Amino acid sequence: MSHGAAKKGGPLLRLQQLAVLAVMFTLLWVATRTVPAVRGSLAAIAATGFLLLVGTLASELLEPLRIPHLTAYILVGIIAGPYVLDLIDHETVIQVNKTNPLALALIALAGGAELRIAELRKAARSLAWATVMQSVLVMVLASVVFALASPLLPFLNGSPIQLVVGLSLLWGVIAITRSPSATLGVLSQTRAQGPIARATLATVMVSDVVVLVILATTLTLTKPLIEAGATLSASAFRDLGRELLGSVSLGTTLGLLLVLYLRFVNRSLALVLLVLGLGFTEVLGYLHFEPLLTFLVAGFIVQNLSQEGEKFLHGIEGLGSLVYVVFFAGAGAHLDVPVLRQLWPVALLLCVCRAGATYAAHRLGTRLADDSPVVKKWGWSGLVSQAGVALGIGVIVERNVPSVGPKIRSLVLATVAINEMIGPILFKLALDRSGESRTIDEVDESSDLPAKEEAHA
Amino acid sequence: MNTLVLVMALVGLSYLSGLLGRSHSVRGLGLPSGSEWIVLGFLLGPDLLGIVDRAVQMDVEPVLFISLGWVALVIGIDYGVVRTRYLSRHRLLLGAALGLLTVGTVATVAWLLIPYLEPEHTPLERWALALGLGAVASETTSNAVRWVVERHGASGPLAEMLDDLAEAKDIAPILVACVGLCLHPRFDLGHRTWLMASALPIGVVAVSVVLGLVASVMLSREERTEQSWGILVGICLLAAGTAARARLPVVAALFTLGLALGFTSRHRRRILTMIDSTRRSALVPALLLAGARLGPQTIVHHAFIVGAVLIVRTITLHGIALFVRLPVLARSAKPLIGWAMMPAGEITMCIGLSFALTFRGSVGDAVLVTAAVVTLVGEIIGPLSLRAALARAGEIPVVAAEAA
Repeated sequence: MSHGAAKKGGPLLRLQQLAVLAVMFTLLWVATRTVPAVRGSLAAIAATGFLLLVGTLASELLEPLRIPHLTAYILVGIIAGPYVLDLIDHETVIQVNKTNPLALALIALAGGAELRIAELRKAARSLAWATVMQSVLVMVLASVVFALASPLLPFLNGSPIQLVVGLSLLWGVIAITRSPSATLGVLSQTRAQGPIARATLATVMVSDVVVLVILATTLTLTKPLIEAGATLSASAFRDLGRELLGSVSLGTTLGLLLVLYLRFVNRSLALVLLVLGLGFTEVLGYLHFEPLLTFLVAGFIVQNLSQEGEKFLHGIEGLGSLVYVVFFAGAGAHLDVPVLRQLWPVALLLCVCRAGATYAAHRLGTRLADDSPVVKKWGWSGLVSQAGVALGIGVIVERNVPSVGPKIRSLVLATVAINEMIGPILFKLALDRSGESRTIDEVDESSDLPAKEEAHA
Repeated sequence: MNTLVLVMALVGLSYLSGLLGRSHSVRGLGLPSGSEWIVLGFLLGPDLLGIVDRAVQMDVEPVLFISLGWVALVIGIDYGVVRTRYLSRHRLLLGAALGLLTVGTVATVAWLLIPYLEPEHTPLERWALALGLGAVASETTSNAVRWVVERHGASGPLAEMLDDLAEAKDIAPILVACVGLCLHPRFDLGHRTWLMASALPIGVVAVSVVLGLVASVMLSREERTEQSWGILVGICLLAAGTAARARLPVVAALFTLGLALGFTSRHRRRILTMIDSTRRSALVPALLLAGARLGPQTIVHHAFIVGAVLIVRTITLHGIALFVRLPVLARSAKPLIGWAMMPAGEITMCIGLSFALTFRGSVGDAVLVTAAVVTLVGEIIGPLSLRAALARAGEIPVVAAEAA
């Protein structure tokens, strides 16, 4: 994710950028049309480079419209993807998205490293209320809306009431998932600092852990409702406990090792992150641990148990600025446009209701926590985005409810598509309006501040 | 070996080579040509220890294309620059001409010998093989020259001249390899071989120049390091991926791209400072995998053509040494100059590997085996001869003092 901006330019520069974009699109168009059948991995190399370059260019081109960079990346992905220009076909999109674990690892590490104990202590009350309200209230309201909207869904017509209830509860779980990647993406671009940025980041990161527990609970409780002949089983909780505790302990160990590395070697951090993101994630999957939680804890340890936190964050930002472009553009290319076209009225209704529920829960939570007016006003905006976690739960639902699962997954895809596009715009708007976004000069000034103070002393 | 494990091992290797050795520097560990990695790959390959088997090698081919592309990109941006000094036009032209002379001589002799030594090849393959052999036989790696110069503290007109010529020669093998790689049967146009040998390479060069200019434009207004990295990595992946999917020469495409970028960008020095240290890290996995592709049987099968190329290369380099005008004080070193120009390395291996990836079978194998042998022989003979030549010219202070 690029932060700050390149040198400012006028219309001539925009024309230049458009010309470069045209060259890129033409090159890939000619390549894909003249050599259509190749092994996916070779096509994926070109596609990755294309998304990286065109995503970066498009984000700069759209900068005057104040659109978040990641929205520009997603748009580029959609345009180049299989449903519009088909420069990147389905198989290639899958290959490109194989780098997703790296992006998610970086997001979790950065998310953990952004959580500072001192700040969390100060905001503990707010965080607790926000988590409870955003988890419980939003889940209940979203479940009720889904149940009420079920007659609008043709694939649920004639379904038994217990199935509708079970699916509504699962929909409620999907509704409380947030997008750490989108949050960090916008924060990285805007370099925002302030109560909204801090509160949103903390809530989103904590909710990612909470949602795992709620998902396991809901799946266990709803199993008898959605699966004929199924009974309640507590084994899911045992597995979940092992997964969470194991992830926390492994994350702690990893964090300590990273501290040692940063302290005594402190070279080629990008390669270390690459190995962690691509290799270690595989190991975690094999051991049935939760990668996001493991990396989150590791980042948290580095930030709070050592003095290497800022160095670590800087290293992640360096690699992340490349990886996130491909990650979001790949997500855009992966968007199922036909499904969105087919289901958009219902999906839009569900999205609006979710956003309304998020807002209501936020207002209630901030009132109970007695938050500052600015957080009360804008703090909900960063909780609208959804991405990978929601899609992951969609897949779990599909697996658990074979009868209507694929349709539900399509609906999840459609709602995530809308939230993925709208959420970052809302969040950036809030940061801009509240004055938390910073220009690159302001960032430089604030980083120079300690040096200036020192010189002054 | 599992593919992911191999990829992680290669990343680890890059990391280690980045830690232990630094490109163009003697302060790090390792041989100037990186031959030790070829030997290690040979040992780990399917015919000896069998750790890196053929199936896994196929799986990691995309990594190889990226490595080769990145190395070629860095070489292209760096072309014409020796440390912080830009080469004069005269030296550039002389070096390129000497390179073309070596390629031409070796390729011609190889073309004449192929029907006798490797009769199984079709006429098109004969051309491709001859050009490939010529390309891998013509490099004098500037790394070896700098290695000797830095390690022994050499300085003087001979050291400078050899460094300059080695740098300037790089362009010849890459462009000739570009032509050779375009002679792939996939592009066969019947009897119009000349069309393949001209139109395709010109097309590759033209598109690469356009991409180089695009990169130059994008980098011209970008002062943030991360974004500059993004542009360089993106353009490398786009060009390497597109060339690889079309089976066009990745190395030539990226070299030309780098060349266009280097010559047109105002930020050339900044870019070089950013990426120069990555050259070795990107090369090491490619060398290891190149070594793993070599087997004893392949080496034996192509032994005659490899031997012939080595002999012709040695004779040509000695011939060139006879006609090159040396600085007055260095004339006593003349008999050693031919041997001193023997070291080969990254370009030779990149071209050898490109042929192996493009021409599956005998042509690719022959070029890769020749590349590896030329590199290993050059490593044994080159640095020692170079040291002796510089000592004889009085450009190595300690050795000169000892001799006195």
